[in-house]
Amino acid sequence: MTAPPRGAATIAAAWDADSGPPNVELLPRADRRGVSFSTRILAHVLGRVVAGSPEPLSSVPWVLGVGEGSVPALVPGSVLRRILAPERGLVRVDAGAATVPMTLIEALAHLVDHPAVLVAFVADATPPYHEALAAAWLLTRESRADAPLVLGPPVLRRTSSYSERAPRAEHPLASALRLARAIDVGQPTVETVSSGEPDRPGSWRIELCAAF
Amino acid sequence: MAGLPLTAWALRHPWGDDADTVLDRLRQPPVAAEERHSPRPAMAIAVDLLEELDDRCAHACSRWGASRVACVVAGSGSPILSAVREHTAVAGPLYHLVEANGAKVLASADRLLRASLVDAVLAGAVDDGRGALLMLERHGDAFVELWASAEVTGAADEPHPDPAVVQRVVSSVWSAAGRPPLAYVHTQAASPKAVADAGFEAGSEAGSNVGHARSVLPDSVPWISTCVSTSAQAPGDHAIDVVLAAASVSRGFMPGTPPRELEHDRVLVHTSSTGGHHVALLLGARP
Repeated sequence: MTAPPRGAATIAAAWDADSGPPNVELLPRADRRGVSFSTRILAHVLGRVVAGSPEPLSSVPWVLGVGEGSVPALVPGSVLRRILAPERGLVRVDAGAATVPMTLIEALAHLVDHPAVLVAFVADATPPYHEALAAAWLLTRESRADAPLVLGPPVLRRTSSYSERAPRAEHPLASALRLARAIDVGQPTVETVSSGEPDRPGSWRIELCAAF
Repeated sequence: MAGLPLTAWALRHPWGDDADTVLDRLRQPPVAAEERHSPRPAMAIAVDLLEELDDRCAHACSRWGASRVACVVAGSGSPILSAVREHTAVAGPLYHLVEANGAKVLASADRLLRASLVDAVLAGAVDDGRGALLMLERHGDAFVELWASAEVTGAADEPHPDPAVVQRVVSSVWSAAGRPPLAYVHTQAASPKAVADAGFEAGSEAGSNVGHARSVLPDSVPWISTCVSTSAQAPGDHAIDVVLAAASVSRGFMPGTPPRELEHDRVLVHTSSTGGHHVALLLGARP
């Protein structure tokens, strides 16, 4: 049995309400008016990744974490999918409160077949979380990257009760925003995310650590 | 490269609650798929399937550790995940692939295992009315194994499979598994209307809607559609397709009529779904 893969995390971008109007230059002018806000903020972060990526995003699989209980017809990205034309598969992960760690696990698994994978997260400003946000970065096989940070598989830690981990009522994708910003500045960090299982309390630990 | 054993499966379909019954029904004159049961809520079906797989789930959790057993589902995601949490000890990654189908979640399970992120995956899809779940493990006692999987995305929402995309997804499987001789290609019908338009029946060899994809494989390899789907995009139907393909390998006969023995012990499952996603799974008998 081989060791679980780690991914070198590079070329990250994030958007939230403090970032100002999203830059939608990635979208053709004809499409800019008709798209949803979540598509606009996703275009903002993917535009940054496209600009920094050594390879076209069409050549890597996409793993997209979407907000809790997303209705498929409302999941953003069809315009972007047409423009960027991913050819290696596109997966959308919804795991409620645990969407960020589950999306990362799905993305890391793709590294067994592909040298790189696009990880992206997007949520519109819908109840109960009234904040729109988007984040994206590239994960590449550790051996082929000179990135300063690596992301290991999220690890589940069970707790005896919720009180032990002092849960915060925060946006389920907030940790993705913080991870993207940490990758952008090359800062190691650890995120702890609730497993979202009331009957089996626990949390997922996501570690972004220095490559060496 | 070793295959990953499919150690258990279960399905719920209007024609019956096990693969043998549905495969046997395919040998009878075509009828509407809903002839037996009225649709049931996805949650109730998921609970049924989990109860049937209860021993296997418990065995996997005991063998590998509950945190090394994952669950990846499509279709009605939240009800299935809730049922998994309530009725099993599975404590590894649990998630729902949005707009995916039962074949795509098997491809995801395959990657999770090959990446050593987990040791067993309960994967499948359930919709209101039907669905299937399968247990895929790193090692285990099983007659049928998953030998390779591949995914390719083509232009979104094509009404018919693009032969170039089909060729790419099959080529990806070949790159992982060589080019074993195939008994048949198990493909889903585009829709009941397309089935009728194409002039083939449930369990018969697929016709013109996959004919243009034949260039990928020798003409001698039949493309079979079980045509049990009520909708080309129903994720649960695609999970049922995977179970039927696995069961046909186990029985040694092609689905449908007339009964024909499998000439080879490998079957390629091909599905396409919303967004132009194509998935190919290579199933085969354990050597």
